[in-house]
Amino acid sequence: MTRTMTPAMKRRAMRPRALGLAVLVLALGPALPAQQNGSPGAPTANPPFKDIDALFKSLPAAKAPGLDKSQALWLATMPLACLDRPQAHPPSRAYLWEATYKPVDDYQKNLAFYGCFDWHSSVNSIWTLVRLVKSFPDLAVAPIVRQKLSRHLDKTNMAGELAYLKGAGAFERPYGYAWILKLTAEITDWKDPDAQKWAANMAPLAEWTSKEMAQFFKTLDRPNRGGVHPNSAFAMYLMLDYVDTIKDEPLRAAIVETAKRFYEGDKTCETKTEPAGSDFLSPCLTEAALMSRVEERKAFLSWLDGFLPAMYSPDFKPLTEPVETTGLTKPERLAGKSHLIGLAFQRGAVMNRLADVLPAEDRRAGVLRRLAALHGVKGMQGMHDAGYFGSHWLGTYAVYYMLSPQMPH
Amino acid sequence: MSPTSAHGRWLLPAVALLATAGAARMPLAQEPPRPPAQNAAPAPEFKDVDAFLASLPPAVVKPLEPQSALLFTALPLACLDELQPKPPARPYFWDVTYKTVDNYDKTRAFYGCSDWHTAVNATWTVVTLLKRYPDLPVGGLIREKLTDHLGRLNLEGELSFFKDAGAFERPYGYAWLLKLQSELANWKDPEGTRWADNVAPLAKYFADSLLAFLVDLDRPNKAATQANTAFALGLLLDYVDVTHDSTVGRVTSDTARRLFQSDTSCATETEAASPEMVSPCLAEAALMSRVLDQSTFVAWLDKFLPPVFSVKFRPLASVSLDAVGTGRRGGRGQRGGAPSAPATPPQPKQPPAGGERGAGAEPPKTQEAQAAAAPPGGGAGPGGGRGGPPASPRATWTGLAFTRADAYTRLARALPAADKRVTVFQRLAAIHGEKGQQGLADPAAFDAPWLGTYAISYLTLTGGER
Repeated sequence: MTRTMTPAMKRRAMRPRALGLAVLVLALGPALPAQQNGSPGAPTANPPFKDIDALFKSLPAAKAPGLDKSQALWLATMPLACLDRPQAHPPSRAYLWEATYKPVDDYQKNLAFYGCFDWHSSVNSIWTLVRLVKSFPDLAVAPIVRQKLSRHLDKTNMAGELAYLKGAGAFERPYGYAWILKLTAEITDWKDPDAQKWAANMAPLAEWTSKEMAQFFKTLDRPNRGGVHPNSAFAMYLMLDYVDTIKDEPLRAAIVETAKRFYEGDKTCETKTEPAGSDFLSPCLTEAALMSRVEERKAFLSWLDGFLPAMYSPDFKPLTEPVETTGLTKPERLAGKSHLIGLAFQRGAVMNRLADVLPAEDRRAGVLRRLAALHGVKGMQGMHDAGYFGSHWLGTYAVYYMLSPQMPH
Repeated sequence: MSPTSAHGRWLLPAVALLATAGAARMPLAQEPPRPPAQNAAPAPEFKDVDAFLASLPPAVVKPLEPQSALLFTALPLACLDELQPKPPARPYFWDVTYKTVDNYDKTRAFYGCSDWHTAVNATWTVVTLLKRYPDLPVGGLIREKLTDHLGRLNLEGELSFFKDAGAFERPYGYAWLLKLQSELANWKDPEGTRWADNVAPLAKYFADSLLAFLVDLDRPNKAATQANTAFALGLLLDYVDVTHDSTVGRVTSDTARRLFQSDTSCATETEAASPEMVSPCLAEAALMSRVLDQSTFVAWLDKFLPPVFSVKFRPLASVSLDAVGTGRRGGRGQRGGAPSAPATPPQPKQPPAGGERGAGAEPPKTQEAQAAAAPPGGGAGPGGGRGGPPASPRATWTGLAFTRADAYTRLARALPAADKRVTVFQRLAAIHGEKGQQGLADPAAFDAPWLGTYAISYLTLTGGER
């Protein structure tokens, strides 16, 4: 996943795209809420809704994209296509020191995550393949998936990764580390002889990673609240899947302690400034989703009331509108564009999570499920709209979204 | 010199007078190693501004004079030709070998002193000192270095490099280059004029590029490092004070007002949690003192800073050079801060893929890896960038003392004379200035040539020169 977007791109990304909207809207509802104007936080033209029912009525109907076998097949081809496409070397134009690069010897035997544009995308692409073959064991591409997994997750590959990470400082921490743990959980939980072998190969790397992450969060003084990789809440949220599967109590304790220390006192999240122009995650919704797994349900619900602005208020409005990205076409904008496409999936996934935690009669649950569906639809439309900047990771976020607790059909 | 420096000439005597005014040594006067701010024991809340002022220790700042000027030239002279280190991290998946670019000493100007911006401000330091003390015994040596580094070809090489370097060193390094240019341009000296002419095209390119950058910037970076937007804008105003470049002045002021005028209740309680060299709250306040008219500024400041006698203000009242801090900041606490300059310039010939590490909205991975290799807080000092020797916590605290002293001096100047905070800010400036000067005596300072730069910036601002 990529990291490039200038403020100018960001402003343009937020520009109204009336035409694009008209195409995307499923046109079943009444007027779509006006696309966000200008910079984040700018007042929008529409008056605020009277209440949550008025907001719900204003939302177009949408059918959430679901994961079936044919979806799974094409979603699997994206990671298959990038897993062995080597990452580019770092920039070599130098001020003083000119670098000459060559791939390390025998990298196919000694490393695992050298494809898919960057390290964390390589890790989460493997997670995607695992998840898809686990759900659909007779997927037509299952044999080639297994072949790739065998080659990448062999014992020597994992040992090489661990050796590299031990000397690599903050490289890929916390985001890539969190994905390593998520992947380990997925493989460990797969009742399959090959998977059990891969899980055993991964275990030393995962155990080391878990210890590092516990230490990292325990000593972190304040959270990163951005909408990209270093976001603290997102990494913790992902790792909870590992904690639950492996029963890793020390890591659970570190996450719970850190989340409470960082977030328990938070009030009135700044939803009105979301998203920044290259965000691929929603800081407010992600924090809420994390807290839903850290706090007792009752305490969480009362915390949530103080934390999220009313969904029908102007402050919440940016989260009711999937970001329009079709206008971003210049090559230098594709990286940031891919983030905004992925943002739709990430928002959708955590919206579904929150809807799942709310009491059934809570009107917010229905709104969140509808918004999640609208975001999911939007993400699927953008999937192939950012070239390799998108295809190397968006499949992962699509699958991740589709696995979130969906609206009952 | 800033146009207001004459106004500042009374400041040091005034501070000295205050110092002898018999203020009792209250708890703040002692200097136990201060624990991290957020863990500090509940502080007494003072009744009012007078009570707070009475609690502050006296402080005396030694003025700049030829002997200290000589010492301040030694650090830059010793580092200007010491090559910046190779990037330390071994990139994932790649074996890498390094060599210096061909003829770097002819096609580059600022390749010493740990990193680019430190090389620039080291150059500014020797220029500034030689201008004020033309009889320095090292004057000839300084001219020799400047001749070697500021030749026409060196600067042409810099310009051609920067045209393809993306966000590298922007805005902090750019602002320092402009400050250097302003010092050269008003130096009545034939060689100075020649060097100014050589630097001018690069300065022009940076000024234009910064204008575009600032107009597009929609969120400030509020980190406690040189990436801080308010801090960099203050440097730009220094340049404007000397050159009267009205375009840069207008855009800088407009940007400051647009980004900061609606800010209230600065989070003073989170300041100085770990060694850091900029006070985000004070840097922002000092900047606003320069772009708002007095009554608007006073009203803004009242909402922005807590009362000086409140507990909330306590972390800003002093700095301990021995504080350990908790060592690591959680990234930028602010959401969606401005992009920080990448540690290494991007590869322009590559597809945008290459730019991923170069111009992202977050610190690039290579920088993360480098920061991790440094001891806690090491990345906070300007010496810690780009794999240079990390600044020791003590050096970083010393830098903070000077940048705060500078900010307090500006705040004191901007308030109406009758405002009781004037005296308080003057005293806090002196307390921090004195503390900074203590820090300079530490051997750690020799690895941090930028400390002298900050000391001189502050001392020349107050007119503390002889």
